[in-house]
Amino acid sequence: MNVRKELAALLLVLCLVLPLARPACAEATVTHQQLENLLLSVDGNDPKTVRTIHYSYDYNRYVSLRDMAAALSGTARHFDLSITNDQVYITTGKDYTPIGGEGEPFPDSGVYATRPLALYLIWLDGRELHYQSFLSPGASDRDCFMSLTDLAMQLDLSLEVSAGSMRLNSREGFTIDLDTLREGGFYYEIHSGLVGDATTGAIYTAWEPMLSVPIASTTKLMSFIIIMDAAADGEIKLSDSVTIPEEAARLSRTADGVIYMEAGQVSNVTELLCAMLVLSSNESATALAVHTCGSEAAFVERMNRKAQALGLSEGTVFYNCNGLPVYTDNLAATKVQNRMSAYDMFELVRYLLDTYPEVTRITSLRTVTLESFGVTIANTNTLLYNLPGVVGLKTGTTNMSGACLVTAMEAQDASGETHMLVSIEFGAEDSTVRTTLSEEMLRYGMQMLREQSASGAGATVPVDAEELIRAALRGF
Amino acid sequence: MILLLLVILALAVIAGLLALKLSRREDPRLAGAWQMRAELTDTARTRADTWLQRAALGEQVPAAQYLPTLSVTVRLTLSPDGSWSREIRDGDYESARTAAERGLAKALRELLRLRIADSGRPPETAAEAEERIRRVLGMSTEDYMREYGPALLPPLSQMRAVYDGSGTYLADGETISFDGEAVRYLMDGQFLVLLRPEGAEVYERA
Repeated sequence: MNVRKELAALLLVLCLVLPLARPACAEATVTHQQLENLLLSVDGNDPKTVRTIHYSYDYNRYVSLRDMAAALSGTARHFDLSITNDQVYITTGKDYTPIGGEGEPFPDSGVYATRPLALYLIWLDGRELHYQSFLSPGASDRDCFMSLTDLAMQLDLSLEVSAGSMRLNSREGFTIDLDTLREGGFYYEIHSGLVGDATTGAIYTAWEPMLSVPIASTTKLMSFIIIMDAAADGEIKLSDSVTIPEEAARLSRTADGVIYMEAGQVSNVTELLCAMLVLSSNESATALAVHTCGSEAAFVERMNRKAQALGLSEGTVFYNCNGLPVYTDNLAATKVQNRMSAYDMFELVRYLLDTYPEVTRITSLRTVTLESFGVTIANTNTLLYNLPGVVGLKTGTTNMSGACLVTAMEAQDASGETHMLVSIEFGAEDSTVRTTLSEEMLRYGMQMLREQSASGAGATVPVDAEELIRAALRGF
Repeated sequence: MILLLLVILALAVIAGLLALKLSRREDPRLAGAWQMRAELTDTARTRADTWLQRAALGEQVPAAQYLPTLSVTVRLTLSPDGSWSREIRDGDYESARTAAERGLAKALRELLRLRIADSGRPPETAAEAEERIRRVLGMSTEDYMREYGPALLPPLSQMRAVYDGSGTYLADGETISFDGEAVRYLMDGQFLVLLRPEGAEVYERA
């Protein structure tokens, strides 16, 4: 074929295709219409404008970090800010250097475009945070919009918001009053929740703690107990090799599979425990169940017996080792899931942390390399990044259970003694809600721990009949 | 002529006023001390049930089985000089509260015994359950109810706001006006019934 004709054809194609490709290469944006110009007053001084985006719903506020940095400059809560293509750097204790445009209000009936909500890396004084945020388009003048609640918690800001204005008291830090917030519907986003001190057994606050609800992969905390019991009894060893059974391999090939496995492949108990707890690998839980008891059915029987031995209520029931939904084996087959109440989970976690404290060596890992599978996995629990002291424990999600999270966190009381605070959250709408709510509950737990130990209150008095009875039963 | 008409008019007015006054008959039987029981049983039992049923098996210890009937005495004094006073009798509220707390403590001990048996542990007597609770709380169950337990009765201040008061009264055989507020009443021997819009109050002569 004539070379000239080929070149001409190629040029023609390029001229047609390139203009079409250009829009696809441009930055994807979302347009926001619910915009607010909040007036922020620090310590009663003249207010400054802080632009806020209400994301999808009124009062779901995401605030401009540049406007906040400019407004707090010169105060005790000042911070510096720099933003690159996809990372945000916050340095507290330094004044902010404006780039121009800070505090200029959104125009009336305006719209504002940002990149879509995503998990951008936010660095706070060198510490990595994982929060969803918006970045505005642009290069050198990029702004970041972060959830007001998340920002207040991380920068320890005492903020009051109402009717288009914000007040900040720079001499005080972030506090949360869950008893008051409860009346405003704080807990309506979840099925049940609880925060308490696993060290003393005190429960600081609870929402529907007796309700038996689906618990999804938080099941795997009980599975861990059963496996460790078997190791303690000499039935298995943590150094055992494990041949992946067919049922685990089959599960790994389904939509619920997390790590691809082949039947007959060889791994070991320790790696499978890491995969089960860090990445919530369902097939790893199944493989371990079969290795421990010969079959998953026998393993599940042990789980239910253990629940009874721990004095958990009748509302705790296990159908499998991993928390996935299963169907009952009868004509009217029903989809069922492992169930437990927040109270029961608190008791289970207390037992787990007391009997097998080494669990937190696994659950606190942010990443793990599994040699036998040739993969490096990341922990599903973002609170490991966002709240110093968090050491685990387990996430869980199914359609029916919602997003669940059981968290353990080391915190010091007023005398410097370390306690293990535990928050339990079942049934959030998504992982963002479960993480934010759990963080708020744990911060409340820290407040209560400090207040009660400072006042010399010692052991907390049980707040209701169930708590009192459980405390009495623990005395056996 | 006009003067005569004015005099007649004035006399008519005076006569009318006199007739009106004479038609208001005093009721001498009313004077004296009366008392009624303000019932608190249902309120206390409902609140106790709500508290107990937050615990597993709580519905198996119904408060009605453990809380006695509870009430406070309200004393109404109608003096012959037309003054009245009403108040909750001293000590009654405190007695009712103590009785309610004791009942709830008993229910809680029974609930603990049920839970101990349900968990497969060796059964315990009520005394052993009490001892177990004391070890946990560092105080008796009754003391716990007093300090930290649920409020089983309406606050005394709220009850005083409803019942306590004083003023003047005037009766005409069918109604008593307490400081101008008319209330129909019935008397039957030793009983005085005030028919208030919110319900009847039955007093017995003290």
